[in-house]
Amino acid sequence: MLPHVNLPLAAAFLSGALTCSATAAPENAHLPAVMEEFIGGTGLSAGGLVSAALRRSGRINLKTDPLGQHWIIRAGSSAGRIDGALVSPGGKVIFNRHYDLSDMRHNAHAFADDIVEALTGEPGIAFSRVAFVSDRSGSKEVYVCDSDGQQLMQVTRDRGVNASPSMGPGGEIIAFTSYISGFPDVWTIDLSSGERTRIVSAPGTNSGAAFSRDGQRIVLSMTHEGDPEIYVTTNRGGRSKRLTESRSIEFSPAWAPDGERVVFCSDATGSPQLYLVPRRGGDPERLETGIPMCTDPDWSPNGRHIAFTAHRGSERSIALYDIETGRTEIVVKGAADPSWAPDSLHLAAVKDGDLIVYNLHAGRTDRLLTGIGRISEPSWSK
Amino acid sequence: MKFKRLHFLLSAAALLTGCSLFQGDMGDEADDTVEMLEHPRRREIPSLFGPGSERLRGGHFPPVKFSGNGWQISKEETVKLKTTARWLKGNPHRVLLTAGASGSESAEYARQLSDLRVQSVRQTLIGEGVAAERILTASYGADIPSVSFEGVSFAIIRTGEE
Repeated sequence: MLPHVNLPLAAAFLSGALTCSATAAPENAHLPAVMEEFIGGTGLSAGGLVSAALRRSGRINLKTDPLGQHWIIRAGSSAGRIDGALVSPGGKVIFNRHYDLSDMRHNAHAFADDIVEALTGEPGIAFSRVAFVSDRSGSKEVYVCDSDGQQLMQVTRDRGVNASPSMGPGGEIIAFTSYISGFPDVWTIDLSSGERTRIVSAPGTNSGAAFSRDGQRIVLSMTHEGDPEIYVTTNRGGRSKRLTESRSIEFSPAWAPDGERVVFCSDATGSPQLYLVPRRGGDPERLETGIPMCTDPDWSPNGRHIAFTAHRGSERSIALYDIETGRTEIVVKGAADPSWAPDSLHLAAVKDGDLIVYNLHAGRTDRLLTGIGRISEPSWSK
Repeated sequence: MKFKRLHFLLSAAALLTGCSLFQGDMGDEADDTVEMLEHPRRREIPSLFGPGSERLRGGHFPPVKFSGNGWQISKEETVKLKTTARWLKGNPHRVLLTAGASGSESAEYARQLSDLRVQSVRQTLIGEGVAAERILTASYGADIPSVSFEGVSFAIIRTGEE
């Protein structure tokens, strides 16, 4: 596809047109940046979208005062397309790109994510999506929304029960459990084409599927050999390898970001706890969290934390297990079902049936979706 | 002629090297696939809830109850199951066992726990002489409130293939 050329903008950016390198700033720094007024017919709207996405990222300090050292975000937008550039405090054009996706939201979010990645070395979240289950329609169906809660879309319409969605890489495919046959099987659905495929239909219960980061493998619980065990299968199903072997319940597996290990829950000691197992199988290693009951683990994309639901009596909280120090910290009380964003800074979770987002560094929780039925089991695309 | 032979050998070597490199690139995935075994597929039957299936009798037998996060069948519940098994052995229809579990800990835990419970009941019935192929099982965890209680309930069914 040939890029659309905005001549005034192109001229303005000409000096840096061939520069496309990213300079990673110190991680997690709140970097001061000034967003100039976007030029062009849809500049105002596009600027609003980029500004909102950068603020949601939690990593960029957008200044209105142009004094002092700061990065400059400069762009023009015409008919929803965006030509956007990031300029360093020293005047060097870090990147200058043309965004010509299907709509202005996508272009603005792609631009915002590029800015975040260039400034922090971490991926942005504007372009990511969250899948979840809601009983809004009277039955449990899978839904998906953008990371800002917009573009809500109902994915399944089975008038039955769908559960445990897992977003594949890029947010274009979801694996989930469906009871449409009367039994719990694992299906995938391509969000672009709507094509739906049953990939695991072994006797018993097949559930808790989680995509690997490359989308090639799926880890899940299956019971066809007698009791719930953890298996790895391909994204097409059919064949699988068992990773665990016990007389207890093994469930809720999730991948380490490098795909070499799997974290899962087992009630081998009487109450569900977290364990690690190599992806080719082996002796599970228990993680000492100090929490009486642990469920719903999810490994951060940067590999540093495992988020999980911590149960103390009837109270549920989101907890983080630090891989390096082995320490556990409660971060959100009254919430459950955590799922990491691609930036390892935000977590989606549920609280009082609403979808919430927690910012790890700010320690702030925002309600992303409320009033659309009872939400459960969110999964953020990585 | 010699040149042609040399060319052939070089081509073959390049091809083999290429194949080897290709396998190297895909080695991780290939190893995984080799280690994976084909898992069984559920025998397809007409949907338990769709046309051709008929729920002849629900609630004919007392449900099997469990306590806490247990899946072992108590002595008291085993007595109930022996009565159920006697009736089933003298009856041609299939029985559908549906299991539930509270989802207070986690929805996924409830799904797996209810599956263990339904398998415990199934194995007990088989042990009492009920033919395995006449027992269908489905576990719903806490997903279907109408069947998601702490136990296993029974329905006598006729599926389209009977």
